Amino acid sequence: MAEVTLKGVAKIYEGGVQAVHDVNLTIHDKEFMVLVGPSGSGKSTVLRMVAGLESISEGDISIDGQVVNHQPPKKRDIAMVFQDYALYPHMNVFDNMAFGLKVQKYPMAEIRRRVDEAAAILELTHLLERKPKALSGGQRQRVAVGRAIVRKPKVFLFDEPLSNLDAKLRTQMRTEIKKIHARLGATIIYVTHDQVEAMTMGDRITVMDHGKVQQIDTPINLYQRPVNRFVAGFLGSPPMNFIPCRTVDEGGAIYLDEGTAKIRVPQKWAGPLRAAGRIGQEVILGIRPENIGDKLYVQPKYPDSVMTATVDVVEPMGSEVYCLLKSDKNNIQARFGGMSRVQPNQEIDIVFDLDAIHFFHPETGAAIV
Amino acid sequence: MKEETRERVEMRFRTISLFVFVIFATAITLMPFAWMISTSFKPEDKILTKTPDLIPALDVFTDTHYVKLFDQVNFMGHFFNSLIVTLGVTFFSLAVNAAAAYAFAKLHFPKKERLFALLLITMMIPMQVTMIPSFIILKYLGLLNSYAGLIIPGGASVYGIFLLRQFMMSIPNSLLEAARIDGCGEWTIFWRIVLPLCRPVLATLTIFTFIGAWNDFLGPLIILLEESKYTLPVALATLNGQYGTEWGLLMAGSVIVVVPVVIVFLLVQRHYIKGLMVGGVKG
Amino acid sequence: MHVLLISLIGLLAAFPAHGAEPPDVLRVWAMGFEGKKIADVAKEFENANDSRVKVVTQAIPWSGAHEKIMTSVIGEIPPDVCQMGTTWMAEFATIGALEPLDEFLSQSRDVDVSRFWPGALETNRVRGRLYGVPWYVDTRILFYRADLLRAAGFDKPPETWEELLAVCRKLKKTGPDDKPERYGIAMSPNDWGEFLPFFWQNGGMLLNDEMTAAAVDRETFIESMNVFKTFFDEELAPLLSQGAGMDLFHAFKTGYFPMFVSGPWMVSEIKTKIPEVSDSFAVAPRPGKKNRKSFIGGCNLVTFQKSRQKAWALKFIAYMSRPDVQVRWYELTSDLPSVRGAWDAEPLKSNRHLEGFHQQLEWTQAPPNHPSWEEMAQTVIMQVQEKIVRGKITVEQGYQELVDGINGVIQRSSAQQSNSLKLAVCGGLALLLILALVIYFVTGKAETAPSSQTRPAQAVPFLFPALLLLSVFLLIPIMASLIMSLTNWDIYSLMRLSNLNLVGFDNYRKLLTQDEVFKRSVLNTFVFVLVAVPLTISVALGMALVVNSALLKFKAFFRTGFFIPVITTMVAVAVIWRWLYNPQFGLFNLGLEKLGLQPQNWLGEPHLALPCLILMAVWKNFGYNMIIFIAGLQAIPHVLYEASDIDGVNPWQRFRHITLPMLKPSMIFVCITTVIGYFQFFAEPYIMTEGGPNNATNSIVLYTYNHAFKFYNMGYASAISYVLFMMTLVFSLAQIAYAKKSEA
Repeated sequence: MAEVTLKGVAKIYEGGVQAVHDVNLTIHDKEFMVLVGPSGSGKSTVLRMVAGLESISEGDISIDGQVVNHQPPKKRDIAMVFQDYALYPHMNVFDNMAFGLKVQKYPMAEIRRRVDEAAAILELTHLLERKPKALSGGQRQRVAVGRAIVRKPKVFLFDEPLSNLDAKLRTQMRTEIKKIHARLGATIIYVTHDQVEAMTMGDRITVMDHGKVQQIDTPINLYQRPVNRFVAGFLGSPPMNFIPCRTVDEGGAIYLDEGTAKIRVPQKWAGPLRAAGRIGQEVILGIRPENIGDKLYVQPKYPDSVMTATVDVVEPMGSEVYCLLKSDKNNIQARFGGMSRVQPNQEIDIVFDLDAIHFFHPETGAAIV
Repeated sequence: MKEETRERVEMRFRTISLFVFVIFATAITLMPFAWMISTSFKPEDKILTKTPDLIPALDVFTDTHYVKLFDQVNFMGHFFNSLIVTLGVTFFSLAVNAAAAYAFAKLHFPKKERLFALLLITMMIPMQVTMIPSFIILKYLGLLNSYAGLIIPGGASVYGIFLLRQFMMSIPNSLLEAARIDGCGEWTIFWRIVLPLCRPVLATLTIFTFIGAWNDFLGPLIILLEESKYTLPVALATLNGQYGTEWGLLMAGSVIVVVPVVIVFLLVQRHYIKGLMVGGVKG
Repeated sequence: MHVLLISLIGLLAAFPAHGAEPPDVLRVWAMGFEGKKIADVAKEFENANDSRVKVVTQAIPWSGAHEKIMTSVIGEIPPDVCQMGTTWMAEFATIGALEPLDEFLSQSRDVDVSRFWPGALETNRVRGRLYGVPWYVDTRILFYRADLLRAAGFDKPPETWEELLAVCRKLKKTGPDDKPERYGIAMSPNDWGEFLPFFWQNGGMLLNDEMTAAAVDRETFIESMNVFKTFFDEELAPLLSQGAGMDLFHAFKTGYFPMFVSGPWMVSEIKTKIPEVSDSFAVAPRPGKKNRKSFIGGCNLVTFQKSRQKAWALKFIAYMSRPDVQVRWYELTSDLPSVRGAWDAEPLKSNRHLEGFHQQLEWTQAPPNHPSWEEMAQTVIMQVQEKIVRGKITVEQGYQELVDGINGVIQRSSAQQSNSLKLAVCGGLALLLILALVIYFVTGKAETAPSSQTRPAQAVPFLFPALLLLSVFLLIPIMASLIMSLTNWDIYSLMRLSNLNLVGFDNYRKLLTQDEVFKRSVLNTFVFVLVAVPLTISVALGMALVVNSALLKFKAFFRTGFFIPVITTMVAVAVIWRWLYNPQFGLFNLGLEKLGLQPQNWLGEPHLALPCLILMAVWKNFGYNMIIFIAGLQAIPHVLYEASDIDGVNPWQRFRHITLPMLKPSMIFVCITTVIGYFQFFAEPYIMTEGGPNNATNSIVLYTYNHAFKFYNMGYASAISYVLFMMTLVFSLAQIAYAKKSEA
């Protein structure tokens, strides 16, 4: 049972700069929680406060129900994997993994057993005598993970552990860390700026920006029901299109005026828009690229959900085609099926899947639900 | 294929020219040293030649200067005095300075930068003006005529703190954090992570401190009040007359003083290991 | 079994029986060789006193003896008997360190003052009182190559100035291109010991009898100086900045210098070092004019006011002046006896080379026994002498400078300030300094947040030992010297602290407006820093890269080789570099000649001397920084180079864009410490040129050292070093600012 709770946690540096505002977050036992956000969003600071590497200016952090605000890292029973791995350069792999246990005066036999076990899991057994400088990037990464595993801590903390690896290794390690999570059943807090990592690995994701928590939810919920424009834009690749529109009420039917095209909003959106007082006002229409189709292949589900645009750039990806389109007013990113044969400068009709659209307040960025 | 051989020829040429240059440069740096050694084995009337010869001819080779030296000076006694003082100063100051350097490089405390700047500033005052006040302080502390009087004031040096701090700053913070999470206290981090990583620079400071303490002349002379406590350089200096110089004797003494320094240098320099540091962020 | 028992009894018997009075312990300090030999005589003294006294002798090296005695006096732990150079008597008597011996000498049956050489006895008299007893004497006479003089038609040594000039003119030889092949005599233009005898021989004196003002007779001075100058004008003597050192022997052997003036030690030096000429050289009293006076020196024996065993000390001093002991001492050391009677005994009587000294001792003079003599000699007489000889000023101007200079040194502010006022002001200053420190720490913007937060309390144990030691042994002395710089702390204040007066910024004003030597040393120091720092650092970096190069084998050997200059004894270094710079046969001139260029008097020419020292300093010191760079190069991760290999950059780009930026921490360190260290440029001029020629290599710290340890102007010396401090600070701040700017 290792539950980590953050209650009203804030970080204010000596100079007065506030890096983290009022974070409230509960990471359940055995949960894989990802903190994601752009650099400077405060996610690493939160992690370092949990680790005890950074003092907590306001609020409480508790592990297992016990407030740990003033405990040094060693008393918190946590392990951490650093972005640069932070392997001790003067120790070989075995000593790197064993160091924490040695410091805590574990018996040698126990240390040996645990290191061997971790090395076996991570396929490091043949490298135990090597110094870090003789390892490849991926191997160093695994040693860093191994060093955390041998400790058998209550909570694992990962600080952007994969960002120094090349794309292929990254995918591979992603899977391995997931497997280890499943195998150890540990509580993990994982910080990354990469939304793909966040989406693929997290049981739940906390999205942060400007030192504030934007949304906490499962990956699928975040993807489908972002609470604001930031979350919506941050998750998903290519990112969601944001199209500024004006809503027009034409005899009960609500239209979105994009400038060149008019799209009729399904009836279920009328209530929320009206409730938000956005009728006859600016709104931001959010639609993901995969929800835009080529009319040649996709039948519109709703009337007036088609607009004409010019193809600007085509990026065939094999199974699908990324396509940058231009209307008079907006650039629109679309993701067509692999069979699409669009050519640059071609004028095509595109279909919006109006079941998967989002509306955001143009000033606050909050979703209109 | 041709390209490759040309490259290899070029490489060999570069290696050879580098070698020639280095040998030439070493000859220049070694000349006075060679003269010192050769003179120490020459009879007094064969020393003053038009051009100093660096290798004594076998027919004039003599060990009289060394015999005289050992005869007139209790060599072993002074050698051990020197050893006690020098090792004392070296270990004590390395410990004191490394600890302070760690605090300045990696720990947090208020007004750190200002304090450090103040320390740097004190380096700018020549010791010639602080010597007498320091002597009076030593007297009040009752440290005159004791090795402690030489070791304790030599314990902290701004130069040493500065040197170590510069190198400790290049140790990635994440290493220390990893160690903190591994359960280390600051002392364990200092001892088991930071010091091992500072080996090259600690070696450097060891050499410098050793040389400084070993060659120190004025300090032991003023502080030690009994001849039997003299360190080697002071004891050897008593052999020089007010006027006139016995070059052979002087150089024999210099050789004896220098030999331990060379040995220490050779011992310590194996700590210059290439690539000890794994890259920081971009590793 | 009983063997053991017997030996045990024997052991016990070896210990002295109970009840025997432990002997008094007499501490005796003597310098160098005398310090070694005095133990023998001390044994005899113990025996002569039935071992009621135990003499503990301590040999003090000559280099540093002055500092050693001074600190022991200040620390109130002086020995009971001490050997003291004749020219040091006045200062130690003036500061009240020495015990006056008039009463003892007038009553003693053991010592009869009339048996000493009068000149030697006079060196003990300071302001009318005797503070010591002559031990051995030293006087300077003419050494000449009798064979060369005979070949030139002189059967006997010169006895008058005219004869001396005539001999020199005859002996002098020049080869093609006016290159000197033989001089007349070796003489140093800036050594007071070379000029003053001419002045004395002409009846001149420097100070009035009360020693309150200069009493230099104009005509006498001008006449003597003109003769002295003639030797250099006519190139009868070489223009060397300093004593010729070991080159002298070689030059004397080859006849390059057929004559020179020196002291008794030189007889045996010549015999052992150049035995080839031991039969052809001879000695004679100095040639003269109205008289044939020469310098008298040597050493006296003194006891201190704070000595513990004064009675035994006096006994010991009396013992040492017994004629038979003096002869014994001569046999042990070859030191010339200060007692006339000893000279009539063997083995002195029949020594051919002693005859000249014996005669000369009848005509001797010591420099004035004034406590500021050293300062007078170095800052006035030697400067004037050299400027005249080098034609910077006329003899008349020199006369005026000499008189003004001497009066300037003698006259000091005698105004007494009340002690309570001084205490209050000094205390106030100390408080002010502490306050300044507090303000320094309280102000200042908050520091940027460190990435890893540790609690300040965790830093305390790491910092405490270093900070404690630095405060006690660095900060307090520095604050003390800062306060000192606002006082006239000099030799009179050492005598009685109430003579210490607060003078405000007087020292600084004098320093910055009047002191020509200081200005020159500032200029020299700046030139040195500006030239030598970049040179040293670039050589160090270059060598570090070479030694670290993957192409090089035997790295450890070369690394050691390049570091050797740092650990080579300075004396050996000086010998070799003097030889390299030797105008007659040095390597540099050999090279110039090969190239068909005019040879140079490297260390003797004011505009060449400083560059020569710069070259030597770079050679001596680059090894330090090289080692630091080597350590710094170890810290560069190898992957960076691997990456650059893939990118295909050339070696220069690699150096410029990887090595140099990664070396930044070492570079900052090396730059700052080298600048600070080179501002304190001292060892090279101290050992090579003593600041000459004509102050061309004087440095700020050398000047500080002279004022602090030779002239006892601690106040003035402190002020000098704070001016140095301000300059270093400005320079370093500019450096740091630049480093920060380039970082941004």
